[in-house]
Amino acid sequence: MKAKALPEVYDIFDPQEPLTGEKLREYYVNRESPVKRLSGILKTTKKPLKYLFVGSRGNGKSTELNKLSELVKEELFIVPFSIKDRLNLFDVEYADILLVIGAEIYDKVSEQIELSKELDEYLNSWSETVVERVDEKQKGIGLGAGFTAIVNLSGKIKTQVTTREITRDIIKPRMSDLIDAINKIIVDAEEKLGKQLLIIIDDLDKVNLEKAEELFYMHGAELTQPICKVIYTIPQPLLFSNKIRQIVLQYFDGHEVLGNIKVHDKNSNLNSESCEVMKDVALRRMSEDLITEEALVTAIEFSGGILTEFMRIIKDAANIANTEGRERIENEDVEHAITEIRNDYIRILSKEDLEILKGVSKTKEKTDGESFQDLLFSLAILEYSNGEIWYDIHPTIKRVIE
Amino acid sequence: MIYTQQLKELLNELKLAEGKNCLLFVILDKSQNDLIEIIEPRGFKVNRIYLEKEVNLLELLIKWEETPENTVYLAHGLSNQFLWVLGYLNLHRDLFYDIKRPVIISGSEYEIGEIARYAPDLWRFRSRTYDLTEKKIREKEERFTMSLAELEPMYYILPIFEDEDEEKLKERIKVDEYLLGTVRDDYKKAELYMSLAISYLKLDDFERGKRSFEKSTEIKEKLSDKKGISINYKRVADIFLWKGHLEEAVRFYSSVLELNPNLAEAYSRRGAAYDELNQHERAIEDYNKAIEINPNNAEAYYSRGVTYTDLNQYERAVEDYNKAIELNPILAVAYYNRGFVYDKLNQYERAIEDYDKAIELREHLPDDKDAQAYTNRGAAYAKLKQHEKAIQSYEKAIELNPNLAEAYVNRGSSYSEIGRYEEATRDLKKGGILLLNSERVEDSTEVFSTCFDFRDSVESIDVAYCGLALFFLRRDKKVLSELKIMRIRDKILIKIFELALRRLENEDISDEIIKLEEEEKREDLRLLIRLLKET
Repeated sequence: MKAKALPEVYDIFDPQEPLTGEKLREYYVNRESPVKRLSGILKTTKKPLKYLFVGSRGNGKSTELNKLSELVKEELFIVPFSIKDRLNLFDVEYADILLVIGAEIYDKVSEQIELSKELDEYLNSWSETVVERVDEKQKGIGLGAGFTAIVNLSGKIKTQVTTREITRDIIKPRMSDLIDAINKIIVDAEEKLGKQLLIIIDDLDKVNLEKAEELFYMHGAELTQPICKVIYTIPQPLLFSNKIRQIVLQYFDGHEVLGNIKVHDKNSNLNSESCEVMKDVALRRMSEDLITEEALVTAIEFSGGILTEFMRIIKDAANIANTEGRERIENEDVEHAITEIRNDYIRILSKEDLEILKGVSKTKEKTDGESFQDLLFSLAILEYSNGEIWYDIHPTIKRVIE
Repeated sequence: MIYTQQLKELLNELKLAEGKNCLLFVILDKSQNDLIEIIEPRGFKVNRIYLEKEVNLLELLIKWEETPENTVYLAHGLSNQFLWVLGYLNLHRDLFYDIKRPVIISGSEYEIGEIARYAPDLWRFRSRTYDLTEKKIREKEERFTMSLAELEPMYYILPIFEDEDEEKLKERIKVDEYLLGTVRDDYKKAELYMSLAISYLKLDDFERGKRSFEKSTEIKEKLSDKKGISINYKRVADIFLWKGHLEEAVRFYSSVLELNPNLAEAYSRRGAAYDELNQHERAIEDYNKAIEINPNNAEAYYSRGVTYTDLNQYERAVEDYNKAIELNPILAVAYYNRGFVYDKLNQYERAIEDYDKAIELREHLPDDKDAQAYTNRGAAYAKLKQHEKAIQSYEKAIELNPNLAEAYVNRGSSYSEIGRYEEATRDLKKGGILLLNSERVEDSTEVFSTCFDFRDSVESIDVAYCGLALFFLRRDKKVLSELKIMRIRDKILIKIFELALRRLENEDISDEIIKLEEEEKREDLRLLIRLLKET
């Protein structure tokens, strides 16, 4: 649906909603993205590739991963899930992730086919040993029988700390058994489905750097054990430390970066191609007569190429224009919305941050230290690339800095 | 509140977002009521949530479907739950997506800034931030607010005196550990360690608790944050007091007082610890000191009153309670305790007056003290020989707490005083059973004996019951011979009586007992069978 009035613009420009299904078809705009190439590799290579997927907060990663699913769904059997729906983001361990991978594959595959009898028996006896031990330590947990019990267990560890701890104590010393079980399911499923499996794990980029290091640096070996294709999202700063980056990439076949849309080039000139992409993003969602050309360009410029920011600017501008009784978003409405967003940024900056921002604004280069990473994480600094990588400060705070 | 452009836009946005998901942050330097008074007349129903103690914002918001469509949630009190909000809420922020009602989170500029910095995912979820402060009004709307964040000492409100279950504490530990990986500012790190210390101490993990506390204090020492160190000692002392580790509590309150000799609260709490350690003189010294520092501290007078009561110095106790009540006229426990002292001083009318007052203020009384107040009032009436009134009071007590043994026992004796023996023996039996069940065996025996003494005044199976119980508890053969000449009108009681006789002859009656246990379902009789078995 295209917005025909400002209250509808307010609804449709939702910064939080990744595009899926019908909306993906209606609103999706092709942009510079690694997804197309990645889909080609995934379709043609038989190897169980493991990829990392990186990008700024809110720059459209989830939508791109949904797009990737669309592109490969004929050739591959996709098991997509969000880690935040399945696990507790502030307490995730590699063992939990593998358990959930097992549960998700089993669940999704069982909807389509019946696993072989031998495999079922193997899984049952394996599950039994785990479930018995959990039962012993936590009476009355009621997990049921067979591998379904493992699926139920993986559901419980999201919310229950005690169950989570007990499960880890039991699973960790038997990690190879779990991986074995997962791989047996994969082999049987791929044979019966006549398709290879692709697991897409979203929202792992939401954990903090310390957690991400623990998962991918310490346990990259375990996380790459399943013998099917897997894509993990990771937080951007994980790739900043060269040492860690090297080691992480040892386990994986590559990492793909979803860059921010370059609305400016390195010399701060507007990039007309990117502007067209952004315009298209807006005008697929709203009728052209609801915003002036000038207002739209201002919104694009100040979004810094981050899609959620762009959505928020237009959403806020729609409210502002509507408050004034206007039926169309004028440039002043967008300017007003940008002022508000700028204040939000100022709120999180310290004096030290200001100095760093001044530097980046001039040099367009990265500096060392945690503060730079924090600023990147909070989108006060944005990363762009076309062959070479450069940095710039968020356009809404430019005026304050300069 | 001035009708600014910001406010106008906020109201418009609420209209656009009616019945939809929408998270707004509002910076406010006034009371929430001012904002509600503006919002409600525009056709919204404000559902206000004050974040304190165990209030869990997400658990409340999940019930949004039960609210009318024009509901707007307004959550405030962020600093009461800072660590929880930054950790827990940040990582569960996608739940906001399912809540089809606008949610406003309001706070001071500092509070909202902290969310922006440390809860980036929650922050990203916002639709917009509105600044409704005076400062904002003075500035031209167009201008941005340039107040940069400074590194400053800061102290969170940590949940020390709240009951929390193990699951919640473990979850908080995970949140705090996670935040330690995110936060860079040392003041906050120290506070996070302290939060960990409290959770561990609550879980009785004293080793980890102590270690976290030491880490926190070490950081504060490096920062030369004297105030922070004193706050840390006080927190640990408080938690030890709450946990009943009284010597530790005393030690840490003493450390607090070394750093901060004018903290009346530390004196009065150390006094409370001494009091529980039965070191009444020291307790009184501390209360004296607390009162000297702050002569308007009702709690300190009250506590000293309690200690004087323990020392049987009733006149002094009354004086202190008087002062506490003068300073805080709704301090219900003070009336309650003064009533108790008047009772001891045989001033029953005054005692009754105080219990009346305590009952009137019962919402301020600790759990279960209200039933106790009715019981005590009843006892005072009984001493004035006003047994009808006494009985009414006991009835109230039983209504509030059907397991309050004293209320039954006292009512029983009041009934007996006015010759209503059937009711008297029924109550005494019930009271005796309750006492026995709470393992107050001597009291219980006493009550059964009193009941059994009425055997010449009334013929009731309750008397027979009490007689049997008394025999089992005292193993007094005289009771058994008394029972022999009584007529017992209950088959099971007769059976138990016969078995008791056979047991005296050293017969093996275990099969019969097993049979009886299987057949008998009534709780009171099962208790008697148990006593028989144990004899």
